[in-house]
Amino acid sequence: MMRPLLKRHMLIFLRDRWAVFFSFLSVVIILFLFAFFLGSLHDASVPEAFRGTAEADYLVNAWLFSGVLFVSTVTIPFGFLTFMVRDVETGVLDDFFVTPAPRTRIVISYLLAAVIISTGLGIVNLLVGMIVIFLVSSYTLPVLTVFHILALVLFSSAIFSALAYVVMSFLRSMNATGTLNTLVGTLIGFLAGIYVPVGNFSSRVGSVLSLLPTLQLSSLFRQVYMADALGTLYGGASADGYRLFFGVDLEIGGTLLPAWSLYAFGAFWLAGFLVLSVVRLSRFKR
Amino acid sequence: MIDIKNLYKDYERTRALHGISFSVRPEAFFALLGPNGAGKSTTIEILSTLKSKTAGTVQVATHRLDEADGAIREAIGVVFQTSALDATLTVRENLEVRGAFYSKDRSRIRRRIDEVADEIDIREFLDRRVGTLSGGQRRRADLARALLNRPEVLLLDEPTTGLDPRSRERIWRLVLKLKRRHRMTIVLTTHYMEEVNDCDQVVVLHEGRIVAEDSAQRLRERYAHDKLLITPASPALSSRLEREGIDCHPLGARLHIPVVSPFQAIELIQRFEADIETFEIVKGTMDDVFLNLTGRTLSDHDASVA
Repeated sequence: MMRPLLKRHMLIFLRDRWAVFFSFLSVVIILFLFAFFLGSLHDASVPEAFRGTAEADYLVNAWLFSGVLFVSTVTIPFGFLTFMVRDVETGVLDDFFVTPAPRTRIVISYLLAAVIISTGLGIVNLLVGMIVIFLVSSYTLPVLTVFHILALVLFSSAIFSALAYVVMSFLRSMNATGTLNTLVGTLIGFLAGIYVPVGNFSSRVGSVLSLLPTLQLSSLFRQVYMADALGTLYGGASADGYRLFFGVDLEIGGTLLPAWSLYAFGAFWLAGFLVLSVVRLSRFKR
Repeated sequence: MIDIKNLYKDYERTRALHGISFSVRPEAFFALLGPNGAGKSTTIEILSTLKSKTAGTVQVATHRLDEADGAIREAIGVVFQTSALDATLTVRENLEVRGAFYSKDRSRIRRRIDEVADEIDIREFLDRRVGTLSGGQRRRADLARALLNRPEVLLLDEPTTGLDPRSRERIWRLVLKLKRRHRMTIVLTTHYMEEVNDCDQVVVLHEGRIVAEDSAQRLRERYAHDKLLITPASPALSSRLEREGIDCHPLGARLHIPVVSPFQAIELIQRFEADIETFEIVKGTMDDVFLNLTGRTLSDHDASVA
């Protein structure tokens, strides 16, 4: 029962071109902003001696595509789970509920499908990013890094699918989901430190943002995605200033957050959102 | 097959069902008749385990609601007021997804889809996306979906609402064919009076209460009367009828005379032939039943609800 249902969820999402497009809208906006504004800002922050080199291009594009990839793991679950609200509104869910299939499994199928779609499209995103980086700088991501990124895509997709599921479970109309997705698409660029690098904020605002899962996960993506590029460009030199300014590393109250703490935060958010998801399953009881 | 006792349903501020009780015999063609807001859909939603009841007992196909909901769902097929199929999937894809809720055996599901496709005559558009189908075709696909599990009880919630007359007739013929062929119990909600004429059990609901229950024919006999409509040839006809103690009411330019049978109408026509320009004998309808039971016609009620 689960496989046909997952297939159904994926088909209805992927056959709706506008839904797919709007799930990627913030990604498009980031690319657009980067081309006209963020790119030059970033170039200026690279040590003068390296500006215009393939190594600098590798770093700048790794920063860009790590952000794009992270954002897609947030916006795609929100975009996909719009269909859960639509299914409630149009009575499709009722049609599922009058069958002997357990209701919890039917509802969980939406959450699972969100993770699968987000991860699947994340892989596409990663491939596109790698191709662009190769074309621009002739560098390729190390194989281990690619697998590490894939694991992060899955991790982040699971966290934000659970969050999206909890939020969507409160909504009853497609109008509300449209408003929510616009809000998410707009805010995510700020909350992930992409539209405005986190170093531009005061340390207090930066600390508050660092407590949110959006900045924590985007930071993890950057750490993994950009590790090779940072090593290539900076070699043994210190890149601490760059890393803090562009949100590769995070600080709370002047204390640097180690990578393991970001994973711990991620696990905390995932557990929390899953618990809330289970609580929200009651919405679908009679 | 279905047994409902003292069924109450309360929403936050309103009571939708006020302790209704009725039983549906096995293989019956049963209709819940009433205007919008009468409680028909609420009753269907409770029967199909979608909504909880506030009080009362409900039994469907020997299974008690709240105790054996899964078994009830195995036993029912539901056609909702609006199509619940995915517009971007083909009819076959929709049926495959729904079929998987009833069986893990994919080849069995495919065989069953072929069977219902032939039975409901949807093979020509089985591989077309639901979004491209006409209203009537979509309704047939809904009907095919409801039959996937060979239900003992088929619940039809206003299945012909919004369809053009030709599609309505086609759906109706299909429902009657299914009833004859499979001897299933059919529970229909409708506000189309003509649709209950074929039903052998009718419950008339009004504002969450049962106001009448019987066969369509007996309800008509009790609550609806044939009538004679006369266009008078002379203005004296009205006073002549009154003098002879015949109950008549003006209805526009015509006179409306309730009669117990068409034969009484013929007798009156012959007696007053000289004063009659034209006449019409109208059979009592289920609409009259509703009017006599509630003081309003269905169309009045729907207009006030709207």
